[in-house]
Amino acid sequence: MGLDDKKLPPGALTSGIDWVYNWSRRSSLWFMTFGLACCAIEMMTAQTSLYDWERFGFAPRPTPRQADVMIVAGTVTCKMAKRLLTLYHQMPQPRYVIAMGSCAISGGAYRDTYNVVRGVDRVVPVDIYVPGCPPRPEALLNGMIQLQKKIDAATHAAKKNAAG
Amino acid sequence: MNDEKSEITASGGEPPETPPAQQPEPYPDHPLEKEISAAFGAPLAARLNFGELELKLRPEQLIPVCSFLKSHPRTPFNYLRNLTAVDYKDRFEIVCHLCALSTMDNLIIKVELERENPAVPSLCSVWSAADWQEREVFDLFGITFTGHPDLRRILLPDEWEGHPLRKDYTIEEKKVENWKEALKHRN
Amino acid sequence: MPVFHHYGYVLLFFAAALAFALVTLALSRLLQPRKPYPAKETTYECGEVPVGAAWVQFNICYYIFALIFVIFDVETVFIYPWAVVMKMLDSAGFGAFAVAEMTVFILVLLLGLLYAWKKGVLKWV
Repeated sequence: MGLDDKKLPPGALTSGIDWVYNWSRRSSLWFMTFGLACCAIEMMTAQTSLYDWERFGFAPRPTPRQADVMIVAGTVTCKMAKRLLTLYHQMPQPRYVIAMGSCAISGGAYRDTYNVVRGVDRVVPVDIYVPGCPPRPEALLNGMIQLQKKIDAATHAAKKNAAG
Repeated sequence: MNDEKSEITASGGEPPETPPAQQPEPYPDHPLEKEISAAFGAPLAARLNFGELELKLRPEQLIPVCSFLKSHPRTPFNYLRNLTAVDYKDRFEIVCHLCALSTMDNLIIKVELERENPAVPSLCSVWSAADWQEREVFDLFGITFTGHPDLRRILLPDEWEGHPLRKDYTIEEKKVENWKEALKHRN
Repeated sequence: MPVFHHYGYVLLFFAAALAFALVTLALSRLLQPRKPYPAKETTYECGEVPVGAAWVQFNICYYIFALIFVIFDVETVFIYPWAVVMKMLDSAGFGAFAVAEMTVFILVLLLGLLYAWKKGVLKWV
């Protein structure tokens, strides 16, 4: 039971209130701090009072069960990739992934080593890429804002929305 | 090419001098080395490495000498700082850094191993800090430590094939498949 | 019975609190996307396959802290109505007696707190 009922044509009930869904989702993006390496420091810095992104509604959660977005901050090793995928599966929908830093985007400086996954998008679907090594806190904040814009553009009618 | 040379040398255009021939190092006059030679036979080699005694032992000398050093009356070497390995193309070498905390004496022990089926006695019975250090060396070099309580991979995933820090290890795309295989077996 | 209609307010308050909880949960259930699948419903253990049972022994200090809290919470519950009627008691001539009685009450419980303190249960290990 729910408003995403399959018997109705897509968007019949919810096209008018897409903006309510989107506004509530983008205004309180609780992120799972998946700090793996140096980018984690910049992610932490973005939470400090100078940059303070909690004013946008972003609250850090240590567990995937309470998180909306997973910020992969750092190098993903093959050993970690397995756990990362498990934790991605344990996040409730709608869930998003931000690849922060060049290691998460493409393997970064460690692309040619034996145990590094060349980009976290080989493991989980990524919504926003934040380039940098490490990206400044303002850059990560911009990435989150781009994610907010992406959520604003989502509609129930589009089956390929970010909630999948 | 000539321009580079003249830029490098300060005296303007003279070719750089060849370094002096390496003088053979004198055999170190160290009380510990004397005690070890007397009790367990002479080490394969000994030198002073930046003022610290460095001994190259045979594998069978390793545990007796280390036990002796740990319970030494004057400088008990109770701290195994580091246990690692080096892959010279024709041989492996285990390197241990020891420290006597009461006197802050440092000592280096090296053991040469052959490249095929390298094996050396485990130092876990002497220092329990050797446990994970030896697991790391096994994981990355493939050197077996006989007598180790739990010798298995520590840094790489358990199902990894190969030992990456060996000089003949190549990264093939096939190696990346390992973690994909691991993901397939996840239910 | 006219004296009982005050409790009607309490019932209304209780009903509002219940409705607040239930309506928000129901609304969330109506509006949430619900797509369960096996990997999602695995027990969370930081990405690892869970080992061992979930019901483990807790440290006793949590229970003792909660117990001490309950005792002093009930004490506070008793102090509130006393404070409310204090003025009336004072005008009726029982002022000194009321203060003395409450002081004795608080002192007895304070003695208990001191005992617990000395026993070391307040140290958060």
